[in-house]
Amino acid sequence: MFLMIGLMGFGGLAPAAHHMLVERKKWHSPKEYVELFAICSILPGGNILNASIMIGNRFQGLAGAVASLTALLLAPLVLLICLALTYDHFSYIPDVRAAIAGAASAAAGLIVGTAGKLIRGVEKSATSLVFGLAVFVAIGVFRLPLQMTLLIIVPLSIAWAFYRARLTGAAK
Amino acid sequence: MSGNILIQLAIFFLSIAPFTIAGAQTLIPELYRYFVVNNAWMNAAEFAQVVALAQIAPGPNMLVVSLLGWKVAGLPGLLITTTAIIGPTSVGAYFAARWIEALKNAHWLSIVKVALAPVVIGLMLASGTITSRAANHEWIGYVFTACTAAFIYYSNRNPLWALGTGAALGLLAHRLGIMSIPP
Repeated sequence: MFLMIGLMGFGGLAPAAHHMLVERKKWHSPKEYVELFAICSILPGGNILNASIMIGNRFQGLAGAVASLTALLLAPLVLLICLALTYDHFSYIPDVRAAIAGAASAAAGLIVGTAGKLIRGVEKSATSLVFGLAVFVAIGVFRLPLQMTLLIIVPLSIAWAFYRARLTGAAK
Repeated sequence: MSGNILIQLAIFFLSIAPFTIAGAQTLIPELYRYFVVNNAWMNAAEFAQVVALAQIAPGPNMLVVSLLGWKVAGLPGLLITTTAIIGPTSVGAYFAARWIEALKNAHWLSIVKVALAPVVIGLMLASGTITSRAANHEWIGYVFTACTAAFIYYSNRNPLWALGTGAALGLLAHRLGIMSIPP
């Protein structure tokens, strides 16, 4: 139950999660937290959702995992429904529609800007450019299915990364 | 009929769940194809509004999936889509937690991470392209999108500032007559 209260607090945003788990509750050392997040971000699924399951599981087993996931989702879901209902109720007003259209344009920019930030943080090489572009062109331009694209490109990218790691390992 | 939609939603989200990497934003192109192109359950502008509403609300951004379910099939739709997208990966994370000690020290973890990074970025850019096409049908919308992208890139402020400004400017542009209201 203490877990539920703890997790209710954060809105599911990564900085908030870090603040709550590492700085306030001291359930994790910063190093542990970084390691946990590294694992969660390569597993399929939302990384915060995965992290909540792992943390819940660590303290209370299955019950803890279920409790923290539910707690993490419940409040935002209720809020989201309220927001959607409010919008549906007022959407006949032209001003409201215009404001949401503006927010929708901004939301698209938010995604592009986030991608830009990710590019800044990543190690740049010719091959990563090739893989990144291939995914972008396949999905953004040709609109190919996600599953097919990932099933082809992800194994290639991983295989290449291992091949390169082996080469640099052999050179040492 | 509506039972049929629920089953369709469940099958679709279960099938894409294992392909969720890094979060919901990478799923947007596939969601767009399914909801707008293949099934015509909503138009492009409505889809973009759902994405925006999900960003405005607090919580994991995976909730965009819940909101799409809600729009198409009400509360049962929301419950089905949320469970279907989160269920499989949650079970995966639960079992992965058992090997967490082994995973922590595995050197291949960082290699896989490096390999996935460009894929995630490609997906995010594709997602941004598709969302801006869906959200904007006039030049002014693209201006908002470009300004927001620059704001997010150069600033570390909360993205809600950008969404709020976008809403205010949308209202203003509409009042000034340089932006029409989406259908």
